[in-house]
Formats: sequence, C-alpha cells, structure tokens
Amino acid sequence: MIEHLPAALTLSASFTVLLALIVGTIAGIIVGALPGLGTVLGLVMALPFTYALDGPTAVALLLALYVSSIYGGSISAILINVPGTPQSAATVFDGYPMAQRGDGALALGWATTASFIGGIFSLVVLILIAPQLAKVALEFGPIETFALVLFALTTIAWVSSGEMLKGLLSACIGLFLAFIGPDDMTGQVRFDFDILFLSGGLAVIPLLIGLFAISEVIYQAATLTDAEMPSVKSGGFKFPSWAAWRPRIVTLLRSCGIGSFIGVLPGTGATAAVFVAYADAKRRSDTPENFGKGEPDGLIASEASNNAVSGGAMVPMLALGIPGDGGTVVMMGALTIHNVIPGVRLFQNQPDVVLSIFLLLLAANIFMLIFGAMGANVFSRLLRIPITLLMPLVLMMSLVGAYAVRSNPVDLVVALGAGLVAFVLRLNSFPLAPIIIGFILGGALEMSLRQGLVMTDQSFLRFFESPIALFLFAITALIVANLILGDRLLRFLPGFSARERK
Amino acid sequence: MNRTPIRSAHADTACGGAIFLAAAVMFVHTFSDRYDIGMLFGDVSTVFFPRIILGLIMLLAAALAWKGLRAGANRVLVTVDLRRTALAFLIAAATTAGMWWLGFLLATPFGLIALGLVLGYRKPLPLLAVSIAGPAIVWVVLVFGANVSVPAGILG
Repeated sequence: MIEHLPAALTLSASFTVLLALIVGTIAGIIVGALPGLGTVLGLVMALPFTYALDGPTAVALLLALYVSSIYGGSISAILINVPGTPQSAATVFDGYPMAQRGDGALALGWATTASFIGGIFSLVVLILIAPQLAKVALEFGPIETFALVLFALTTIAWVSSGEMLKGLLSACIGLFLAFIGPDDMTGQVRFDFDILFLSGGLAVIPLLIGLFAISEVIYQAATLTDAEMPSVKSGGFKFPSWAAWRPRIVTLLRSCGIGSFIGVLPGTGATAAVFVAYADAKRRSDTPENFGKGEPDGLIASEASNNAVSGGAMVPMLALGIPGDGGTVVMMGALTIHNVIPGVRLFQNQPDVVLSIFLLLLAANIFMLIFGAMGANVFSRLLRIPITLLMPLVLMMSLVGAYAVRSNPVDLVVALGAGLVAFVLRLNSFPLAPIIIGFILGGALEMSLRQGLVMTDQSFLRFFESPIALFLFAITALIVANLILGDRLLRFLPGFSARERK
Repeated sequence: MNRTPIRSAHADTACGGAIFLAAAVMFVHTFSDRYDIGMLFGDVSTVFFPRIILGLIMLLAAALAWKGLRAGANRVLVTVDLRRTALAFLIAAATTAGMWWLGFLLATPFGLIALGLVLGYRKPLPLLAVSIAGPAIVWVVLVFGANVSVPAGILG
C-alpha cells in the first residue's frame, strides 16, 4: 500500500485541504464543547457545506470535525460539569473537581494530550487492521456477507445501552425502511402505496438529518427546563510535565487499547468505551479512592479511550462498509456522496484514497492538539451561548442539509417526518443509531441472502457449509441467546456462583 | 410550567402496540397481487425478506407491548412540555413550508425567531441578530461560495 503514498499525498496536500482541516478542527471543538450539539449534529450541520467541495477537501473537513468534536466534549465537562458529548460523560468525574480546585488549565492539558495520544493510537490500529480485514473480506461471497451483516446488526442491537429489545426493534425498522422503493435485483417498486415520492425510495441523508438533528430540536423543546446557565470557570491551558506523565503511561496505553478495541466492535461507540476504560483504570489504581475527586488517571482513561474509538470505529466502516455508530454513519453517508464508497472494494480500487484518509486523520489529530492548546480560552467563552439560541440554528442547518443533497423538497418532508417519529421513539429510550445502520445495511443484507439462496437452490441449510459463515452465525446465535436468556445462560457455565449472579 | 410525565410501562405499551399495528398492515400488504410475479433464475419473491423482517418486527413489538403491560414499576422516563413540543414541531413544519414558498432567505429568519422565543430565549437583540445574520451568511456561503442549491421561493 505504501507505493500509493505519492498519490495519496497529491490528494491530501493542498491549500483547500489544509483550510478544511483547520475549519473542521475548530468547528468540531466548538460543537463538541457546546452541550446539546455533539459529533453527529456537528457532522450533519457541516454536510451541506461539503456538497460542492471536491472529495479530499470534504473528507478532510468531516474527519477533522469528527475527531475534534469527541475531544471538544471534555472542555465543558471540565469547566462546567456538563459533558458536551455523551463520549465525555466520564470526564466530569475527575475533570470538574480539578477545575474546582483551580487546576482547570492543567485538566484541559491532561484531556487534550490524552485525546491526541488516543487518536494517534487508534490511527495505528486502523492502519494495521483495516487493510488486513478488507483482504479477508475480499474472499467473502454472498453467504459470508449475509452472515457478517446479520452479525453486525445483532451486535449493534445487543449493545444498545441496556435496551436490547428496543435496539433490535430499531435495527429491524431501519431494515424495513430500506425496502421502500425499487428492489435492487428486479426493479419492482415495493411499499410505495402509489405515492410518487416513495417509489424512488428514501434517501439516507434526509433520514439521517431527521433522526438525529430535527428530533434533537423537538426533544430539546420538550425537555428543556428553565435552569440557569452554569458559571464558566476560567479556561487557560497547561501541559502536564513529563514527570507527571511517566507513572501514568500504562493507564494511558491501556485506555487507548480499550477504546480502539471497543471502537472496532460495531455499535459500541465511545460512550461504552469511556466507562469500561474508567472502571479499568480505577480497579488497577493504587489510589482508587482518589477517583471522582480530581484524579488525573480518571481523566486520562476517559479522554484517551473516547478518542481512541475514532480510529477503531473506522475499521469496520472503511474495510467492510459497516458503520458502528451515529458518527460513522454520517461519515459513511458523506463519503458516499463524494464517491468514496466504504467497503471491501475501497481498499482494492482506491488505495490512494484510503491512504489519504489515514494521512488526514493524522493531520486532524495534530490540529486538534494545536488548536485545543491554543484556543482553550476562546472555546471556554463559547460555553456561555445558551442552547435556546443554538437549537434554531440547528433546525436551519438541518433543513438546508436535507434539501441541498438532491434539491428535492420531498426530502424536507422526509426529514421532518423522520424527526417526529424519532422524537417519539427517543421519549421511550429507543436507540436511534440502529435505525440508520439497519437502513444502510438493509440492501446488502437482502441482496446477499437472495443471491445466497439462488446459489444454494433455496436451501438455507447449505449456508452453514461455509466455515466463515458458520462461525459468524454461531456468534450471532450466542448473542441472540444472551438476549433471550440473559443471566440464565450463565448458569450453565462452570463456576458461576450465586455471588457472581448478584 | 405544565409538564407531562412519560412513564416507561405506558410508553412501552403504546410504542409496541403502534409498531405492531403498522408492521401488521405492511405484512398484509405483502400479499397483494402486485407482488405476485414470477421470478427468474430461482430467485425468491421480492417480498420474501420483507416478510421475515416484518414478522420479526411484529414479534419484537408484541414483546415490548407485553413487557409494558406486565411491568410492575412504571417509572418516569422523562417529563415533557407538550405545548412547547407541539409549537416547536409546528414552527419546524411552517419553516419548511415557508422555505418552499417564500424561499430560504425570507422564511428562515421568522422560523428562527419563533423557535428561539418558544424555547424561552428572551434577549431580543441577539435573537434578531442570529436569526437574520445566520440565514444570510449560510445563503451567501452555500449559494455563492459552494454553488449549492437552496430554496429560492418567490425570490427565484
């Protein structure tokens, strides 16, 4: 792959790409820092601005925004005790106590450096794993693809934050939405009910905007309380010394590993990673009693792991075309608009583009470190902007984004309808990411099943003759069994005592 | 302010029931004549897989509704201001319609002001500034900078 480096450099080394990286980084830190916005909304709002950009510039803007928005959440978590993004939920535990005792600048220093190292670590993981995974996946036929997509969808539902039934239901709703419109194999139009705009099928971007952005605006309107704006502690920035870092290197690297590993699993995302990494750091610490009172180890675990997810989550997205969470779903949609189709063929047909994505991720992490350190004071001042002023802007960008992708007013209606339905589902704690992931993977799942059935003369039993498919089906079956049986499954395991059951 | 509690059991029953009904209607629809076509090369019917997924949706939705009906505890998931919710959605819908007829540049400022007020923002000057400058900047950047089509309405 290294032979494609000159071509990748040609793609990514230009003034517009540099500008996009700077704008994307600054915008990402801002949307991450402002509570109520976050990674997905930031990416959605940036989408219309990328439509007219050339591929590398658009990808640079979105990658920088994606990476830096995860970090941006730490600023509000540390300074006002409110995580800007769900990924920074564990950062408040130790970041805010540090700020309260006057170490806010140092806390930002720990968070920024840990985020940077987490991002770079996960990039290395991405570079090492993704091409190998894509190489293996090249051997996949329809049966293996069906097993893989089924496994991914089940995993996504499985880890849906304690709401497994709702996660599965969301994924199935997404799959069904993918059936609306022409069938890929025969061209027959399905589920259009003779409504013209449904006959072409639903477009992913308006659906995505409705699900994540418009539902957020309505949700904020429904749940906003008249609470006072929190006072913002002074920002500032101070890098921790090497002497302070040295005893924490193991915690840092372990958290990076946890974040990257969890990121690779479809559907888990950074929010799960930070709590696993935080609990692990606390369990292994000599001073666990200091956690929650301003312990830098806690801050490092949280921030290194959440940024380490960014590269990890790109592994299944780039190599297999399976997005893992809301952020990678938007990234995948945006890449597709710019003719970069994530999946097995990307590594084979556009290796220079893959390499340029790696380079851009590296640059985005470096820019995040630079702007995070230089702009801490400015970003902390932005925390005073109230959500009541931001949400109207989110609505505006959502509507423009939904319309501009195809210049079709029907997409506005789709976005609005999806927003209303998603709002109702959110009220009942339905996870939304499985809907859009199901929608994106629905076509591939159906196509691979039907092609597989044609190959096996409509014998589903012959699907199990493929060892890879058999392995994936077995894991999927285990997940489903766990869904249905829960703890009862564990009772069959040796050594599962009553204490563990508790 | 009047806030309505959304309770877990009620929400599960309502959502499960509604999704079950919608999926059942779609499932019945898959048996309509329009899908009764001959398939080539041993392919299955075009509604073969949708039927499986719709069946799964019905099963899961029924399980959710059953869970809601049998739930002992009916904890409050969230409290919502229904009036403000309805107003916010109406403003979003009106802004969408206005964008099409009046155009983005004329309709959006009104939508932004109305939504800001409904959400409880009470500083007129910043609200006016954001509501007028925001759409104007986006218009200039998208139309002249990025050459992206934005609804022009009566201005077009």
